[in-house]
Amino acid sequence: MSNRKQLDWRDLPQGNRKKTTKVARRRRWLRVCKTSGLTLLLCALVGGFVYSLYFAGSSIPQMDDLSRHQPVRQVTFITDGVLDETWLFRKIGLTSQTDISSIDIQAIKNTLESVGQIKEASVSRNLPGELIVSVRECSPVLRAVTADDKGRRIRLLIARDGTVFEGINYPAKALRSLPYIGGVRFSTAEDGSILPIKGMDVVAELLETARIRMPEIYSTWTVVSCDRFSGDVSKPDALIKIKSKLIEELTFKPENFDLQIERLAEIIQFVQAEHRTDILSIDLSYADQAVVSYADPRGPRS
Amino acid sequence: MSQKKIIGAVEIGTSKVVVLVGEILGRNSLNIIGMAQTTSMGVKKGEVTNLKSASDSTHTAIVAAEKSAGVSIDSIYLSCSGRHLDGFSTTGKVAVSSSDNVINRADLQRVGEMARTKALPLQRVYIHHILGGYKVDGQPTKNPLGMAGEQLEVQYWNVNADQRKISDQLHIINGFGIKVDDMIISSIASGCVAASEEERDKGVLVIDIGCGTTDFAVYKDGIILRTGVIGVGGDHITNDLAIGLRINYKNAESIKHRFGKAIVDSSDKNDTVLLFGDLTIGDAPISRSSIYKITHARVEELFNIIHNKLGSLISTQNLPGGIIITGGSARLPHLCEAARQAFNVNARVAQNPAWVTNPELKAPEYSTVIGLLQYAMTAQRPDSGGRKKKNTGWFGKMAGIFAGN
Repeated sequence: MSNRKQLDWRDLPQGNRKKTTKVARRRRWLRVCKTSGLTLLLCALVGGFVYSLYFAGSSIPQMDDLSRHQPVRQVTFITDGVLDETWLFRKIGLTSQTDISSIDIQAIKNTLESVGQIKEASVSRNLPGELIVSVRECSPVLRAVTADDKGRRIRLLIARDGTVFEGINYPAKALRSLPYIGGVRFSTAEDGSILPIKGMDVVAELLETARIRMPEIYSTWTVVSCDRFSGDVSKPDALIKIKSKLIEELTFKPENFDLQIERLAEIIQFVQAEHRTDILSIDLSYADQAVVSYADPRGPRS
Repeated sequence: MSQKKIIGAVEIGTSKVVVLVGEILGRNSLNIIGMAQTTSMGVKKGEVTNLKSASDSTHTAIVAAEKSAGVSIDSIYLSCSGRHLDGFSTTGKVAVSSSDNVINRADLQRVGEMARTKALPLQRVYIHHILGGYKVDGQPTKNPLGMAGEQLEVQYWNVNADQRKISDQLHIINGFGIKVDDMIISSIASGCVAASEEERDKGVLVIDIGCGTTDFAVYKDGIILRTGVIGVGGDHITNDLAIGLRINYKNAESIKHRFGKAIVDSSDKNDTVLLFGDLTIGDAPISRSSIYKITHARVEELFNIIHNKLGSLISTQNLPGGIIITGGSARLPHLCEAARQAFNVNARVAQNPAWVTNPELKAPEYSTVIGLLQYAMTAQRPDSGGRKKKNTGWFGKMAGIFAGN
C-alpha cells in the first residue's frame, strides 16, 4: 500500500456532462426552455406590477383617498358648439366646494340633455378631483319667432333634425345670417317642450346648397316658408317657398336642389344681363323649366 | 413546514436498469411516485464496460421514470456492485484523554479517524466506512460515550472500490445533468429492506443474487460485519444450461425460468420438457433431470463460494436470523432449500416491506432500489466521517452504521 492520502468516492469529480446522451440533451433543453419560459413569465408579471405602481398608479385612487372629502379641482368641458363652462356651472349648480364623490353624474347628464340645444351629453369623474363633461350640440339652420302663453316674444332656433330650441351663447351676427321659418305650427309635448318639425333636413339641404353655390343670393334670403311643405317629399304639391330681399318669392320643389339652384343661377345671370330688376318671383318647381314673373312684363329695362 | 425532495434511486444492473422516483416529505414520509426499467447495455458483472451504451440505457430509464412520476428528479442515489468492490477491517485504538477517564466526543472522533485513515492502493477509493463496534478496555459496547475507561477501541469494515469503475458510474449519472447524492453498495441497500431490525440484531446473512453478480452482507448485533461481491449470478446458470443442453442463451434463459429448480427434485426428474413447447421446428425434449443438475450445481457452487468467503461467520450461532435471499434469481424454485443444504442454516426469500404497495415492486429483484430510497429518506447526505444530523430510531440506527460515531 502506498502512503498517499485516503480517497473517498465523494472526492471524485462530478458534473462532467461531456459524456451525455441524446435523451439527456433533450431533457436538458426542455428544462432550459421551461425555466426560460417561467422566468419570462415572472419578469412579465413583475414588470406589469412595477408598471402599475409607477406609471398607472397615479390614476388609481387609494381607498383612503376615496373615503376623504375631495372637492372638484378641475372641470373639463368639451363641446362641438358654443356653450361654455360659465353656462355649465350655472346650469348644474357646481361650486369649488362640491364634493366630487357626492356628484350624481347621471342627474347632471339628464339635466344637460333636457336642454334643447344639447343632443347628447356624457359626464365622468376622473378621481381624485376632475369632472369631465362632454356635450354634442345642435347646429341651427333656421330661426323662428313665436309667442308664449302670455304673449311674450320668444326667439327660437331650428336644427337640421327639426329640433326647436332656445339658442344659448350664439353670436348675434351668426343668428342674423339665418333665415326665419314661416308657415309652420309649433306643437308642444306633454312636458311643454316643442316637438321637432318634420322635413327640416330637406330644408337644410336646400339652404346649404344655396349657401355653397350662390352665397350672394343666399345672403338675401329672409324667410323660408313651409306652408306647402309638411315634410313629406312624395306629395306632388309639396313646395318650399323663399322670400328674399331681391326677389319676393322663390319656389322650389323639395328634390333635386342642385339642378334647381343651377337653373336659378342661370336665370339670375340672364336677368342681370338683361338689366332688369323687377322680378317678382321665380318658380323652379317645374321639371325642365322655370316661371319668372316680372312686375312689368313689358316694362322698362334699366 | 415539511420539505419536499424528489429522489431518484438508480440501480445499473447487468440485465436491467431500474429507476424509482421517491417523494420524500420531511424525514419520515416516503412515497414511490414513479418507476421505470430498461434492458441494460454496456454492463457486465455489475461493471460498466461500454460507457455510451450504459449511459443510453440509464438515461432512457431515468427519463421514463421522471415521465411516470410527472416530476424532475432532484438528486440520485446510486447502487454500486461489481467484483472490483473489496472490503477490509481496520481497528483504531486510543487512550482516553480526560483526566477522569470518561470518554467524550473528541475521543470518539479521534479513534474513528484513526481507524478510517488507512491509505488505499492507487486507483482505489473508499465507498463506505461501516462501524463494527467499540470496545472500552477490551469490553464490547455499542455506545461508549460517557463511559469510564482507559483505552477506547473501534473497528470498521471499510468498503473500497476501483476508482475508474466508480468514476464511470458517476459519469453516467452526471451525463444526465444530475449529481449523485450518495452511493450505496447493493448488498447494504437490499439488506436495508430484506432483513428486519430483529433479524439484524440476532444475526443474518443477506444474499442478493443478481444477473451478473451476487452481493452479500452479514449482520450481527444490528451492525454490518462483512460485505462482499462474487462475480457469479443468475446468468451463470443460464450460461451453463446453454452449454450443457447445447441450446442458445435465449432458450436457456427461457428454460431456466420455466423449469429451473435449485435442487434435484426426485419427484419429476425422469420427465422431459419441450424446449419451445409448441412442437415447431427445432423443438426438442429435454430431460428435467439435466436441467435440475445443471442449475443445482451452479447454485451449490455459488453458495460454496460465499461459505468459503465468510468461513466461521456462517453458523447457526452467528446467524440465528438465518439467510435471506433476494435479487432476481431468488425466484428460482427451491433456492432456500439449496441454501439450507449448503449453509446448514435456515433460509427464506426476502419480502419487500409492507409500505411498498405496488405489486410489481414486491418482487425480490427490486430490494436494492427500494433500499436505496429508504436509505435516501434516512440519510440525505452522509459523509464518510459522520452525519450532519443525529438520527434516532430504526433509520437512525441504520444511518449510524455508516456514521461511525
